[in-house]
Amino acid sequence: MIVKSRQVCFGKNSGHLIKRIKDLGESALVKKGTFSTEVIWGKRSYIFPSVNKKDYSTFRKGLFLFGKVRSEAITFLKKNQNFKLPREERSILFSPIEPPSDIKICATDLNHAYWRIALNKGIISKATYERGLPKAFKNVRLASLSTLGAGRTFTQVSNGRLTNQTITIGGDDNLRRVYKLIRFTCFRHMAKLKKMLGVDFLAYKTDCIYYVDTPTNRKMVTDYLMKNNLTFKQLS
Amino acid sequence: MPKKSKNKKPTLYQKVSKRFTAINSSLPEEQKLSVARRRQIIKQQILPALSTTPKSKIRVKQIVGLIQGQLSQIPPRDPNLCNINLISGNQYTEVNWFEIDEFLQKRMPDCIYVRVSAGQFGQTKIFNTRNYNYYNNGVQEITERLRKDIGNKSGAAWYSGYQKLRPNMKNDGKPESYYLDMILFLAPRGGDGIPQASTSGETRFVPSDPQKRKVYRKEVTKVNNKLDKLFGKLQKEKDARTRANRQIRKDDTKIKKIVNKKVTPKNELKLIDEFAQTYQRAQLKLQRYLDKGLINQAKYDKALQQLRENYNKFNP
Repeated sequence: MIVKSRQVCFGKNSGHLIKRIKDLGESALVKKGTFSTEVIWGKRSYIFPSVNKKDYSTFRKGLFLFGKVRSEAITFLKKNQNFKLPREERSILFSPIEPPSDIKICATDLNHAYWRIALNKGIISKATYERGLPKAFKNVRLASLSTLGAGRTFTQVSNGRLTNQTITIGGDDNLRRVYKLIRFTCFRHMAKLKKMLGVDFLAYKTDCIYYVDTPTNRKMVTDYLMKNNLTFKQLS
Repeated sequence: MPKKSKNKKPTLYQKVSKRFTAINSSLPEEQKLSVARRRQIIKQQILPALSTTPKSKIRVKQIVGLIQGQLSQIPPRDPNLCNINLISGNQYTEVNWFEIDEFLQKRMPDCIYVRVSAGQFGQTKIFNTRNYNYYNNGVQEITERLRKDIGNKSGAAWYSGYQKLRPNMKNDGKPESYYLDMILFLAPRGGDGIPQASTSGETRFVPSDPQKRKVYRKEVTKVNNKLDKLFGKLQKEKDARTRANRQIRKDDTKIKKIVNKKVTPKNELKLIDEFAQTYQRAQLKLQRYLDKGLINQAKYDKALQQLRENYNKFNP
């Protein structure tokens, strides 16, 4: 599928275009995403952003991060061709033991966890890390990592009929592994902390761990995170 | 008021023009010439060629010969380009209301029949794109009325093309039998849009013979490839113009920032240097944009005046 031109349709709904494709009995590809809906009809791609023009321009300002992260991840791959993935842990885990109602709970949340891990692992450079830190770039930062090597899956409209068939364009398994490395490393840290906390562990959700609030536990968690060069905030 | 004489003799121009119109209408759709082009040929080629012959000795045969000689010099065009049946729907869907002029003038081949239907905002007659004029065909009036109503709200209105049969024509697949009805859709509060004219009566021709259908599909691909290429080129030009305008604004803000900075003995030299560099760069960029045709003379003059004002402020 070769897309020769792109048309960004601000403030519009893709419904009209899809209806036209169906009426004319044509074939097309449709992808409905969080930020936009894309319709590929012939060699033309129509993008319907769900954000307004102003927000879209803020998003566009951070678009350089996509290219930067991607190119640095490729460099990382070249240097570490046979890197090993950590054991896969669950992204959310609750303690099977129900905690007593009278205990005090606290939580430790990692600051921009994936972004920091990408830096620690050498996937992105220090300069890129710092450029992506401003609050305005949060969405772009996350998206630039999560789209590493991800293909785009479209639903097919065949001869005017919306089918269940999908088609994936692009995608790179090696880059996908880089993203897995980041995620699994994060979950691994959580699993290690769980092991260290023992019975005082209550739950963890991706990058935030909940446990029984004691000075020893707090120290143990913060020491571990600092040792692993991770930044965090303590939630009481 | 003096009465016009009924027996007024036609001028040589009128005679030639009449012949030319008759010959032109008998030509296939892809070879037909616009009124403006015909006028140009008559004035620049045919009349000077006839000037050596006394008026009384000019014969119809000579005029016809000259017209046909001129027509034979015009390079042939792909006849399929004029057939809307071969143009995919994606070429004329989702056309922004403020881009209709560019669409009719540049994006569509200059040999198809079109009508612009905008309901309460107006409707044009069916006209051929070869004779299209933004002001004469009534498109300007529609656009201005829309501008008053919509302003600069993005995505509130757009045109979508519907292929229909021209009055008293048959669905025979010939280019001259169809016209493209550009119907306005309004969606002031988002949604799929409400058509401002009737969308019914859409007619497309598809050959019934499977063998012919195969050839037909190949032709569709060829025509659309050409139009896609053209669209891509236009899009690139548009992007370049947008970038140029954005850069002019950026430079202006940068210079204003320097001009408004407080001058102290410590930063004076640095500021002067910074201003000189930015000013020079902005001036060079402006000239380059004008040379490349990315901005017009008026825009250039305005931006240059702004630059000079800032210069005068900085060097009182």
